[in-house]
Amino acid sequence: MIGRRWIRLAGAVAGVVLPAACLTVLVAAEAPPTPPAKPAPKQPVAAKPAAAIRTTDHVRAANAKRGGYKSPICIAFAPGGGVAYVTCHTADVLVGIDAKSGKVIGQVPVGRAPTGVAVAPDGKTVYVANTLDHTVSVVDAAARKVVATVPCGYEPTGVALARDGKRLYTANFISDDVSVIDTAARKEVTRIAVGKGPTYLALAPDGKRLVVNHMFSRQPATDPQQTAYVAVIDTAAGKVVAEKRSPGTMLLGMGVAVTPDGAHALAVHSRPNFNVTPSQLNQGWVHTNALSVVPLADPKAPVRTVLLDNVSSGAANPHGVAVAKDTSKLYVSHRGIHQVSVVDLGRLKYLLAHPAPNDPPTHVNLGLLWREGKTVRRVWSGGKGPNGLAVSPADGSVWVANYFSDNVAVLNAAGVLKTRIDLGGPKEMTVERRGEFLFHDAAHCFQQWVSCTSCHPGTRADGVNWDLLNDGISNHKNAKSLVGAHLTPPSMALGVRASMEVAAEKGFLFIQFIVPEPDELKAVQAYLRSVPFRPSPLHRAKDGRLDESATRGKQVFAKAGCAMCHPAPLYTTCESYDVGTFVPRDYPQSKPFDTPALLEVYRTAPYLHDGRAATLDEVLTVCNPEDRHGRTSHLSKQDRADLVAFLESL
Amino acid sequence: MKRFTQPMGAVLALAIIVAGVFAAEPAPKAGPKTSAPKARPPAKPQSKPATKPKPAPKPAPQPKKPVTPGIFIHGAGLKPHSWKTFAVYQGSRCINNWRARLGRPLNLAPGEYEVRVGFGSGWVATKVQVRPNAVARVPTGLLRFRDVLPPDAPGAVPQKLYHGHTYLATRYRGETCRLPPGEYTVRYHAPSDMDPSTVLRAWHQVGPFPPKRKPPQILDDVWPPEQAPKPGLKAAYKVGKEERTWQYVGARPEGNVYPGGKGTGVFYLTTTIDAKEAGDYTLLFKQCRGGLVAWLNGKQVQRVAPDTRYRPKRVELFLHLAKGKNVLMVKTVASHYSSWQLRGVLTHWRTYQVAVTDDGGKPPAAKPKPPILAGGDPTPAVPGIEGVVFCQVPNREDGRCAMHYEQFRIVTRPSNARICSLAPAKPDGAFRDLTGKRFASAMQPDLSYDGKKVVFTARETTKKDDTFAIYEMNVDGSGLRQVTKNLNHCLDPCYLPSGRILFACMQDFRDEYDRDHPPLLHSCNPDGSDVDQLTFNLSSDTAPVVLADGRVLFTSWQHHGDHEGEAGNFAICTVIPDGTGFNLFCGNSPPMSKTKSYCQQLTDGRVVVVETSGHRHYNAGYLTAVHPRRPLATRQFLTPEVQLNGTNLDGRFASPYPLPDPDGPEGPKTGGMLCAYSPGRGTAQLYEYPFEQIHEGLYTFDFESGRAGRLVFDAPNVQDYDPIAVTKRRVPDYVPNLVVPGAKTGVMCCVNPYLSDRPKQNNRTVVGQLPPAEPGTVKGVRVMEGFGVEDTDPRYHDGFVIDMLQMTFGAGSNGGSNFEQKRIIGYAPTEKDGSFNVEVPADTVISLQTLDANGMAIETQLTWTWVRPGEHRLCVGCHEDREQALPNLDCLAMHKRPVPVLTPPDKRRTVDFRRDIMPIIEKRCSMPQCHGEKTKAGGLDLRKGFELVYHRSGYTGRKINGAFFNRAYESLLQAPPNRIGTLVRPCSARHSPLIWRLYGKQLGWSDNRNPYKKPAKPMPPGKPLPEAEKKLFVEWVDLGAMWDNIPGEDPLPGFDAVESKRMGREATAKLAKPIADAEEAFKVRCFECHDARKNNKMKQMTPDKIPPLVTRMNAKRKGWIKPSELQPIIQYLQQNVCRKK
Repeated sequence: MIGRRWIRLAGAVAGVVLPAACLTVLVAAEAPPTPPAKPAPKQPVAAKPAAAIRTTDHVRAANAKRGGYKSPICIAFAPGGGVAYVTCHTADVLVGIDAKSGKVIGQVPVGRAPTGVAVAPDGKTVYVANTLDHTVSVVDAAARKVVATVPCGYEPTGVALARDGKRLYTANFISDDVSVIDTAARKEVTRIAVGKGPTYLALAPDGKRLVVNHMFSRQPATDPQQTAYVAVIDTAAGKVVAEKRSPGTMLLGMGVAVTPDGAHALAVHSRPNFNVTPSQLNQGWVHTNALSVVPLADPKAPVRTVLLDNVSSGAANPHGVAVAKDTSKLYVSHRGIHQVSVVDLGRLKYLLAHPAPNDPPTHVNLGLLWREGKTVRRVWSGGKGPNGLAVSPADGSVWVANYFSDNVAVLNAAGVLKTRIDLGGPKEMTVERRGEFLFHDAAHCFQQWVSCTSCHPGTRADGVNWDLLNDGISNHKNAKSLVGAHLTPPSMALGVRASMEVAAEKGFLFIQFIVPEPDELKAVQAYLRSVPFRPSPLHRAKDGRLDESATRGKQVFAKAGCAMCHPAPLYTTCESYDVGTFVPRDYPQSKPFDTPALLEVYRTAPYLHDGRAATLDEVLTVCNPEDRHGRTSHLSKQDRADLVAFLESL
Repeated sequence: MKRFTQPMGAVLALAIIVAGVFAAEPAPKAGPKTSAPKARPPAKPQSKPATKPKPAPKPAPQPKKPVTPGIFIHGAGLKPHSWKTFAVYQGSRCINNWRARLGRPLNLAPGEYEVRVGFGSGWVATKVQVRPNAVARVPTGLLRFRDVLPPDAPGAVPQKLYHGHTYLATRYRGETCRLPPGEYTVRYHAPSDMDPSTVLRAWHQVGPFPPKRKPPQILDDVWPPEQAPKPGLKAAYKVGKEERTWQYVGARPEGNVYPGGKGTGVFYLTTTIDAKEAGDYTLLFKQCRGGLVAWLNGKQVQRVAPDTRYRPKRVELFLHLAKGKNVLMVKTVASHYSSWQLRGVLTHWRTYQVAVTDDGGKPPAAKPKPPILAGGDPTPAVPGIEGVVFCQVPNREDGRCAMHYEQFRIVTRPSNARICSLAPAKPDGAFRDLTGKRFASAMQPDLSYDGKKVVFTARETTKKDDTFAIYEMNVDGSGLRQVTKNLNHCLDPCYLPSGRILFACMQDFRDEYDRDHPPLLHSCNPDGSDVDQLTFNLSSDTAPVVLADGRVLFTSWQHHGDHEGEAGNFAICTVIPDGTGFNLFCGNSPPMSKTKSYCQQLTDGRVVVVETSGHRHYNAGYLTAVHPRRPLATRQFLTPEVQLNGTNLDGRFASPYPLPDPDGPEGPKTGGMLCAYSPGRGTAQLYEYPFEQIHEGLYTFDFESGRAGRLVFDAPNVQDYDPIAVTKRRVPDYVPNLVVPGAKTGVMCCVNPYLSDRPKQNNRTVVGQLPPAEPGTVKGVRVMEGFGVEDTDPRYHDGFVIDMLQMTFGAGSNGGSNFEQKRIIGYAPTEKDGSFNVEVPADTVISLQTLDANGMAIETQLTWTWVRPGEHRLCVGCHEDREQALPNLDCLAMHKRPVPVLTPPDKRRTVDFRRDIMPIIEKRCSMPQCHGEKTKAGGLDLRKGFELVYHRSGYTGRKINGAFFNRAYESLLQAPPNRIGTLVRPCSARHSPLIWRLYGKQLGWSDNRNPYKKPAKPMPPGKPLPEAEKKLFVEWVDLGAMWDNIPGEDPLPGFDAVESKRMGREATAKLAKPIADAEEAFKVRCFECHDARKNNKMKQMTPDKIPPLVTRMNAKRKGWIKPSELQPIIQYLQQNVCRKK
């Protein structure tokens, strides 16, 4: 009985964990950023005309360029396993597949960038989280149409449905909360604030605990202990009861599942070693990829983390998690290496309970899971970019959504590839699509340790300070978003790279230790150019107009002198200024920092070159004591709040 | 060992035939009461078994068939290690022990007998009916260990065979054992299954030694533990007249037991084991010679006979423990020269029950071996490849194989090898000699990734010099061109994914053993230009191969030290093709002293390694494989039948080479392999392998059986080896060259020097085995440069200084050898958390030492290492577990710029004993009233001057090898009489009592593991040395306590080849002559070794014991004492040394 219950949950909820922010969605909302006025003054490098900033039209053009790729991202099974529902992230449709025959039944257009998917216990209703619409589509499975669209928090990604089907939970990536939706009323009931960048969530079998995995840390990047956490929500009380942190670093948390007995949550995440210089990749020097076993019963019990990598091969970008039908195994999809890890849960439990003497602690042990007992095996995912996966409640087979192959691969319970179901996307990749694939691919990297997304999830930033060697040793800098980087040369905080194109090439060379083929490099550059700014949903009305506070903030923005260096439309002059943010660790002291563009500033926390400001308010206050970074000391509390509102609306 | 000439298939077969009459005839199916034929000689009736075996009468001359009543063992083809003893019992009485009589007849009267088949630690009994006129046979069956374990069981773990609770033998997967029928238990354990909470390390010896006169016979003893031991309780009981006590000592967490006395003794041990759960456990006793009896909870569980012949060193108790406290009592006899230890390890086992049934004594059908010689055999070609390129060496004129060489020595390479091709790859494929005419010798081909070109090393016939250079040609032999020009010998070429060519090039200096010029890895453009040195070592780096992930795997001789405390070993290391990222791959772990080289990566990812004897002069042996995902822990034996010691059941394997995957790149990774294989079995050890028997041919490898598969090619009188499958290969990942052109430095950074996988608790007192640094102790780092010895330098020869340093207490590893001249590049402080970040000269052989607050080395880096220009090299810890990823530590060193440690070469300091230390000693220590000529205070003679003292190694014994030092150096480095260790422990000043004296306090071994019990007395008394001089002493010791550390020419006396040879000759002559003075004779002939080993046995002896002892020892040493010296020495001993009556 427990098994059956579990199956449903695993299939319908936990199995469909999927990254939201990592998936580069080339769609922007209707509301454009402030239209281009004049070209930015004093462009030292031949800057692109400001008109190149992507407006809605550009976004539509980009959409057209995507050429109808499906990009399957999450899978959920109907009860009994007869039908598998797959969200297609770039085709904006929900696809139904007859599980027995493997044939596509049909597709239902839903909102933009559908991600998480869950099926009601009666199998009649399917819920899809539309990341870019900030809504949940309620799909009538029989009628094959959307019967309702429920607004929720910003950028919903993962979804979880209560066992009785009465409550639907969405993890809202931008608004940093979980929406609780009454499925009968089709209305958002409440929101529960969680950590930064919630991605996926899973519900315990008894429905009392909801576990949320996060992508980012709330701490400033200067904090060496910077880490995300796994939030445990008491669904009855509607609040977070425990913030579970790994003994090592946790970031870029993705999939999460709860064991059938409800005792543990299994969350995958990255374990970046950002405190040291990333000058080598071997032995997990830069990134390791981990599975955390989170005890749910005891709030004080420690999280046990194990690495999915081994000594000479990384398991980059773990994504989906699903527990096998017989609960003996755990499946983890690795988008970066196009493989699925099959973890023996019994053996894992044994290893955690019986630490060997003189072994390194489990969260840094690259050999633990690869002992002779073979706790983990890696199998081919059947395509490129495996994202969400789900276990069929019918036969225990594992269904994997291969994002870049536009297919769903069916593995048997042991991980052997049985069949691949083509969803019908174009067979050829456009240049941008190929670039997107390469950007998310770690298989070409030295020993598969990192992909570009390991530090630039969804081409944006991981919020972490890295000490790249291009500007000397020991001066850590916060990772920067790559969106629009081609418009604001030079690149890097000190501008050591003349342009995004150069930086991309050097990134391959010095971070991944590969020399990309010229066409590969061009593809990645083209992809990065094609990524539009994603307009902020914050402080804006539905039609995109600024709300009152942000409107006032716009005045403050000009008054405080922000606009001098951050002029619209890009909100940067592409020049370097010393705004008094140097710390002794930085050098050479003579060189000021490049002015960042403020578009998308709502989603690029922490701020300043070393990420010392966790919030925009800190940028204006504690990080600007001498008023060199704008005249902010005289601003009233209200003014500051308005200014932050305006900035967040960019 | 007697060698049998049976067909190969019969090797595993052993038949004990109990013959009634006609051994050669099949057994008639006679009933038990079949009456004897008339022709049979008189025998006792069946119904009355003989109480005494009847001596076998000679076969009666029968007209047709001889009648030989009795029994004999048919021992042909016996696998010697399968069974060890054969004893025949009648009732409880042993009537014959056939251990030494294999193959000889034993005649027995008819009756029922019990044959006990012994395995060293236990035996299995089987009943045999000897019937008149009938052939009886001991029923046996073959247990194949491949079939016992589940398929996922690790291949390399030893599987232990038990009969009941009796341990019989240990076998590996693929091996066999012939056994009497019955139920057996096979057990193995994976190391990770060990539960640390149940590890018992220590046992205590209690009870007095019985007056030892004859070997104790414990089996007849009755010693029931009548009451459960309680803490603190001593109980006495009597056995006969002898009173014994035993004592509860509890389960101590650690420590070994060193019995106070010497010789054989009975030990009574008891302990309680707190088992967390009920189950089968194993308790391992090491060095347990002479038998053991064990009781668990009052019940006897094991009895191992004292077997002086075989001396089982390991005894395993197979215990079924109840949950909770279990009382274990052990009585054992130990006899070991210096120390013995009992060590208990409780381990969870996986147990499998197997049944052995009688197979009629027939050996299993032997796998048909492929024909040795190639001929018109219609074997199909190896699929998936176009052909094979390989190397051939004709045998020498005397028929011996001529292809054995140390891989790092050019002079031992074959002088007449050639590269040939065979297409298609089958014995009758078209054979071509590709290099024969132009080259005197050509070898070591490597194939380009497109499968079209071959790069190899060769020397030309026409050239005057005999330098090996790298050449390239097409696989059909056309398009030959020379790649490297004007370089030293170039070896082991290999293509890089970048298109460059990797090779090993001989260096100008001589290696750390002064043997030869070590080859180090270089790369060059395909046209031979832009030669770049990749690796920097003082010994050799050879045999590179490129892994699929782009790293270069190579065999590196690491003389500087290793984890096992040995001085030097082969390790398999990796490096990025630009020379950065030098790292250990595998091999630096037990079993040591095996040469590991000629690695190749199979398509399934595994890396195959050829392992051979430690003597390194025959590069074929057995094959092992490791997986890159855990290279230090996944070693598996591919050829379990190849034995290095004892009887070899299969031939020798060499030069593995991967075959392409038949299923293509997306298919299952099966990974076939070609190899060179020399068939033949024998009893010889590998390094004694008879070269005339070596006959290498090319074969595929059969992973299933672990033996050579299909014959590919084999020519008579020629060794065929180094096969290469000609096909398109997957290009490994290309790792770009990130060396910064023009840069002169690189950065080395350590995140946490306290992270170490060295055991925290360790009683071994070898420098290399010291525990890791305690947190908070690391205050600085010393960067040292090592340099090789120039050709012209005559001071180093024959490598014997190492003997002295190694045999003395605690030196040896960690560069404690005088052959590694070092100089100090500089010092850098570490951060508060111990992390450091130093900028060091690039392309320089360096080694780091972490230093404590006194500037003394805590840990010494165990390898020579380097950084390439611009490289930023990071380490997690010092000797950290290689499977440990970085803990995301915010180390303080990463907040700062690297500390430059960049003293230019001409300013780098060395510390030399003669130049720097001896003057201080002369000034401060060796005054006549102190440690001078007359006084020798504290027995320490620090005589000044440079009168050289000949030091003869205690280990090499009569071999007159030695080194020449002055008296002071000898006194400091050699263990003085009656002292537990040396005053100086090379490379570890903080553990050197000399330094403690100078600082007036004990510095190392803060805990009770300090072997020096006396407090450190400040020296010189009342007048401490100036700080600078103390530091000089510290540096001298930390650099290895070098006698001679001045590179190149120096004016000071030291090693002089001519002089030391002369002195060696003098010493030899002196030792060859009888010595007149009795005391002198005693010192030279006896004391030099016996005192060095701190053996005080003679002092306890009574005078009457001296003559037989001396005579015996002299016989053992083959007349070491001259006849005229014998009596004077005996008298001297009796009068001056031994105990007075």
